[in-house]
Amino acid sequence: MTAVDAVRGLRSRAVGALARSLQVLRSDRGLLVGVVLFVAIVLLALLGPLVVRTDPFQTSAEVLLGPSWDHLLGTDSVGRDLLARVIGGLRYSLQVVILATAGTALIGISLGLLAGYLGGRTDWIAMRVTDVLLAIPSLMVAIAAIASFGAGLRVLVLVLVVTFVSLALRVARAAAMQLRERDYVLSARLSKVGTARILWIHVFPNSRATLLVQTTLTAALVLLIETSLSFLGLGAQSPAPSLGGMIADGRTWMEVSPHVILVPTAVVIALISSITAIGNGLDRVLARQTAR
Amino acid sequence: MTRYVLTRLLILPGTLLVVSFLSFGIVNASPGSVAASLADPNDPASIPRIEHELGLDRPFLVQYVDWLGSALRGDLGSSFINQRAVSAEFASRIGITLEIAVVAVLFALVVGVGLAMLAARYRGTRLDKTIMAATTLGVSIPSFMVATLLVLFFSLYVPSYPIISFTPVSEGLLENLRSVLIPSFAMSLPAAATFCRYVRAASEDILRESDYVRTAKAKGAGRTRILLSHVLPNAVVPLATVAGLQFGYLIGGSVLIETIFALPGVGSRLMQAITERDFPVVQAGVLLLALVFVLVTLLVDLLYPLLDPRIRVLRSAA
Repeated sequence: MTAVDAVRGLRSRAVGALARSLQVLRSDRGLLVGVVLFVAIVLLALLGPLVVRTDPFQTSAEVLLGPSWDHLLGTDSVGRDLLARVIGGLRYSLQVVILATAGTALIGISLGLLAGYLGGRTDWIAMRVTDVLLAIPSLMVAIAAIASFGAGLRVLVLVLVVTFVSLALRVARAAAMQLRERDYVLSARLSKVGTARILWIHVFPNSRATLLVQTTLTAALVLLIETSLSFLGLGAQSPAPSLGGMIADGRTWMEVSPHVILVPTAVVIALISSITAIGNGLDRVLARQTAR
Repeated sequence: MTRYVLTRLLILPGTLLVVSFLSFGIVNASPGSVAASLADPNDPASIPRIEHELGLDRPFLVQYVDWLGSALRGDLGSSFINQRAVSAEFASRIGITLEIAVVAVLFALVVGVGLAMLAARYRGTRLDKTIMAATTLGVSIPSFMVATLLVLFFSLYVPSYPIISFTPVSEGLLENLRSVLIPSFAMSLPAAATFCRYVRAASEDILRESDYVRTAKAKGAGRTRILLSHVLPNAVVPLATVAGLQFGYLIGGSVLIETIFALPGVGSRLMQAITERDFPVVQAGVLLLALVFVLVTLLVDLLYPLLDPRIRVLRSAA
């Protein structure tokens, strides 16, 4: 096979995958709405700073202005541009959600698959540990941890991973248990294929869809906690922009100029519900595919 | 069955031990010392003395065992800041935290199950789709935002309504209930949406697969009647577990709601203690809320077989 053939093969596979994704998107309206909204928000966060040149930290005398051409979403109580702050807050939230969700998925899924596949004592220990972790109210622990170690991206992500890892672990475990006795897994085991390889080649790809749904819903939960913590002043530290923090700051002025809290509220609701809609949509598509 | 109950009960002390260790450990590992904030800023030499008086200079494990021992005897220490006994302070506050969570769960059950039945009655129609889309929104809006928006709404359009004012039970039960109504509503939306999704999915399964629904249909029962007398009772039983879990989340979320509505519960006191670095109060508050959470989930697990006889049979057969 020449290099050109290889490139062609890759390209046709990519085109195929794209076509399949578009087909899935068309089949479920909720999923489509979620994806479109989510992509729009991510684009705003990524490209926003290139378009909106206003400094999110720059205060001015033009306080609590409504929307205008100079400030598309108006200004806050110290004259900072709300659009620039929304973009900054979004970037922070997305950073947290990507790191925390990736960490949760990586640890939770690998340990969960291992526990479900091996069963026995490993599984028992994993289950008791998650029993305990799930019994701890997550927001409480997050608040206590951040109150003592100080607010910072690293502590926040760590706390979120510890909070949500049990959920991912349980779902992955259940998926692995279902696949454990399948013929292809048994035959791989009999041919003395290593555990890690079996999990990677046979178990993980066949439970990918379920795990994707779970990971998406975890991302929404991460955002709920992150914005709540920022609201309490335990997330991003002022004056750094955060969506929760903007709502907390705006509360003093909301009766005079409601837009200072309505703008960040709308953005948070749009972001979290787009992710929830994607998770629910994927779940429905998956259910339809298994039913078929 | 007995074995199941025993395992659940055996896990309980282990869980509580871990929770207590976490709440103690996390708070004590704090770099900023309370002694430094209590000390006279012109007299930094007094910091070690204050640390000694508060017992903060002892080894970590000694402090933990000492604290745990007293906690088991009901003594949670006293606040560094106002010197009041923590247990006494929380005893008067836990009632409010439980009250808003209970009212919120009841509210969520009525709204969630009601909407689910409505969606199932008109399944496939636009109403069904609208309700289910609304639940996506319901689980996606942080409760502190609902609370803030409600405060905004009332102050703009119904300024005469005292939205941020708490009336204790001693001044009249009705007045008290009125003052927790809006806070409970604010925190109930995610729970209501979860219940609605759950019951809607369960009724879908029951409508499609169960023999008793087919029998009822064959006997000529209408859709509403089938839903209310055959589907609802069966769809609601598994909801007990979900409701218990949601109650636990609500207890955890009380910090936000109590802070916004200035309710004198455990959550708002905890938040205040966190900003003041008042260790004993933070430790006791986290432990207390975790204890409620653990007990509620345990209770639901234990009650569940009583609600659904089929599980009782299955478990004793196994």
